Amino acid sequence: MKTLEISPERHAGDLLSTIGETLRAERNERGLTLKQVAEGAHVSVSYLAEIERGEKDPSSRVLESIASGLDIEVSELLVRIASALEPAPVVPVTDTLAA
Amino acid sequence: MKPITPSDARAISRWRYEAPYSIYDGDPTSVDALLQPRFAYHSVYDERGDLTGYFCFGEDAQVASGKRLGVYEVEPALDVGLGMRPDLTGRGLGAEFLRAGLRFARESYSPLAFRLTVAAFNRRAIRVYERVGFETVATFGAPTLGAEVRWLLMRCEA
Repeated sequence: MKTLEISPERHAGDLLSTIGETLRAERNERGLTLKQVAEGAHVSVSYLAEIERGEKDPSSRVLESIASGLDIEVSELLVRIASALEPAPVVPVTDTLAA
Repeated sequence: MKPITPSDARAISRWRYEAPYSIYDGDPTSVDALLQPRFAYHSVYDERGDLTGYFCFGEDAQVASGKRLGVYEVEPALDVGLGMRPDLTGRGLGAEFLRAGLRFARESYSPLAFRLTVAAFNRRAIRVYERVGFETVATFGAPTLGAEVRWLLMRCEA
């Protein structure tokens, strides 16, 4: 069976930018501003913005705070980050054709 | 006091506060939100026309965990957020600053009551709010963050 390998190349720093992008996506999805999430997380708007840009590495403690600022369980947040990190699934060509 | 301008928003986003108040530092990314009409950000100027601080009215003065707990649905009230230019803080000017903002909000929005959400560690701000007539009506926290991270919900008749 022939399979089509679709796995994007990963670079150092990808985890950090994925964390940042996921946090921003979650915040936007909830219609929250940086101020609202930062205040709820007890971190500064500047620090949160840097984390969202992938410029700062949040500790587990800070991630927990931000989850709280977003009003989401930290486990749920980690699942979202993990799924954003997953390489694209390998799609078997035969299945695709059969569908 | 008048609606915020882009240059005021940029200036505010660069303000840096001394610890422990550095959690109120801004960022250039937040300029867009400061300029959104629905958050009603307003600039405050002194008699020389220099920017001394800002107010926001409504949703941007709320925090997400408070929303989930429904603390903002207990009664219709105008949520007030405020910040003074860093070099003006800690000098006993807060009460006068807040009173000016409330006067403006009373005339502009005719609210039934004013409401503030403040971090419990910020005793300096809480003293100002109490002096102006705000009373703590609820405290709430984020369960995962432990006892040290709590907010006070304060209210004052309009």
